Amino acid sequence: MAPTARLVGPGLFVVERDGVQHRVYAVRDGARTWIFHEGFTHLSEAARRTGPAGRAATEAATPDDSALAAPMPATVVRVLVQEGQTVRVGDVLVTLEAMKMELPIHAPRDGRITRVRCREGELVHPGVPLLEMA
Amino acid sequence: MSAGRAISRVLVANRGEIAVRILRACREAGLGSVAVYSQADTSALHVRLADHAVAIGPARASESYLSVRAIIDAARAAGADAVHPGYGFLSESPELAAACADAGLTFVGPPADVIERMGSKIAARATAERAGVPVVPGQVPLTQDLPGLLAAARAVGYPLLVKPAAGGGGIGMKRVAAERDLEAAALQARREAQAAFGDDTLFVERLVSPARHVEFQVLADAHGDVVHLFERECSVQRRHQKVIEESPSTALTPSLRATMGAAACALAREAGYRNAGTVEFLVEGTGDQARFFFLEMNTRLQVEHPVTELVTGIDLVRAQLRIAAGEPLPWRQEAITQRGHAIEARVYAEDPARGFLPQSGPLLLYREPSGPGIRVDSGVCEGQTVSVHYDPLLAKLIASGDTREAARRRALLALRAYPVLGIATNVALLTAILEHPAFLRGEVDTAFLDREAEALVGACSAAGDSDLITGLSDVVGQALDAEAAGAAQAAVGSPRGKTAPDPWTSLGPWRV
Repeated sequence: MAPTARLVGPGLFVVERDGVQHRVYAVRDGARTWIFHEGFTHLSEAARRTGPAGRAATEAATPDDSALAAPMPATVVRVLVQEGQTVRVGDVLVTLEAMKMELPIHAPRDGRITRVRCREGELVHPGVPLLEMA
Repeated sequence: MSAGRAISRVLVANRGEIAVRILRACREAGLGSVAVYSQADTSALHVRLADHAVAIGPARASESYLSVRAIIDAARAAGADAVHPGYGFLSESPELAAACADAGLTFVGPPADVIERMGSKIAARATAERAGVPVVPGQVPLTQDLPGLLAAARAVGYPLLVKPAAGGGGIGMKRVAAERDLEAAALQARREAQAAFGDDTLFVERLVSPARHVEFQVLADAHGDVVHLFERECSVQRRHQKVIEESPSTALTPSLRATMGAAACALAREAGYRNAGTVEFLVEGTGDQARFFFLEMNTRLQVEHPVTELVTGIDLVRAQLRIAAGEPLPWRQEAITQRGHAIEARVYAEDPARGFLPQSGPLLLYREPSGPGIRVDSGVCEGQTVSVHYDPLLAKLIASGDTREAARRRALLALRAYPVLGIATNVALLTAILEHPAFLRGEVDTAFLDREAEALVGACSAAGDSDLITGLSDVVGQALDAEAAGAAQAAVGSPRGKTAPDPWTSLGPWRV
């Protein structure tokens, strides 16, 4: 028999699956869905619904851009490079601070900084590149 | 030394769960309360709970929660006569304690000179030695240059730890396996200590490993009375950040417990201590062979204080307020007992699967568990946004029971019923630690979590993506789609455009 979900309270479902009841908390976050079940959290991306191939494609997208962006909202503490500067893989380009932790942004490869897109003291958001590299 | 005077309105110079905890204690004690908040915290839980709330500056902690001037000005403006610093921020700042004294405000904590003395690890070691308390074999170099350090290191022997005299939290602490590594480690330790504490003085200590972290809670009143409230074991830590704490410790025999409790009281007396404090020790070896060494003293309330409250039945924040008001301790040492067992798990906004990166964002769904033996101390609620500016501790789940196993089971089941959605947390990792065979045996040393984290995190990620969970996710995803479609239809049909589901139709089968 196909599993069934019953909404029993705000964000709380009882799912009957193979004769067993599961309490599942769920909430929509834009295109994504957060699920909580017995201590484990699962985040399903809209892209994932197309199957494993779609998921792999999402993760492989533009590794450079993601490496040059803040992983979370953070404050820029120091910008250590200038436009035109050549850098080696692993060099610290920008230092961020979030939640009392310093987060260094490293050069993902050898190259040249073509653009600096953040200032010291600025609050930056995840996913937005702080620098551009050639 | 003044014995203190009556308090009527307390300013809580903190935020998050500890501000909430202290504000509630003030209300229970019939005292007025004042919350302070930065621009990032205008809608925070602690602001709503206080009788008065004062804005103290921008989000950046150095200009708000870490500003002595802002705190003193807020206390004056709100008519407070006492300041409780909580933990973190200015709690171990002699400057705040001194500024309170100068402004005629009662500081809920020890006097400024005691905070200063115990804040220097070198001075604290000397105090412990004078009190006859064993310290980790170590040396303060005669000179701070490389030859001075090398000589001190040779006297101590390798492997050893290079430690800054100032500060804490493991910052600037370096493990050195052999002499050839000393210079590089010392340089790095000096840089980090200078940056974090403005003081690059170093000393060396023998590396105690494997070790258990066992600390004793003490209370000292203004009349010279000192008692201890037994121990907390905090060996489950990641990079010196405690994750799970418990009382009693499985590492202590009754006689070792008695010896260490007496040592903690002796140290507090020698230091001229007042109010609540914690004496941290390392324990090496087990059973009758176990030895203990003084590590440091924390001159404030600890994050993990609820564990002690649950086994002793003593409200530590209330006790702090009484001591600050000059009241004598109402309990003699013999009257304080340890009953049952308590375990605390710290719920952090961090993503273990991404290098424990702190997380910020909205708490789209947040429900705290409850039940017999379950206590949750938190500073957040559903709908609130976890900001990027402060510590990632969201809440503490504390479980208690007659036995260690009863408390452990309660903690485990409560965490499995603790949904936090919208940001990643360490909840799954906490359940994995509580189920680890070494934790079950009570044989966890301070290196356990750093050793096991990768394997535990991997297992959690796999479990979160199991066939069962992805299957449940698909079913619930469809139900959410149907609900959204239904709500949209209801909005069109209803003249007031109400989208909230009617509980009588959506609750399903129920009984009274």
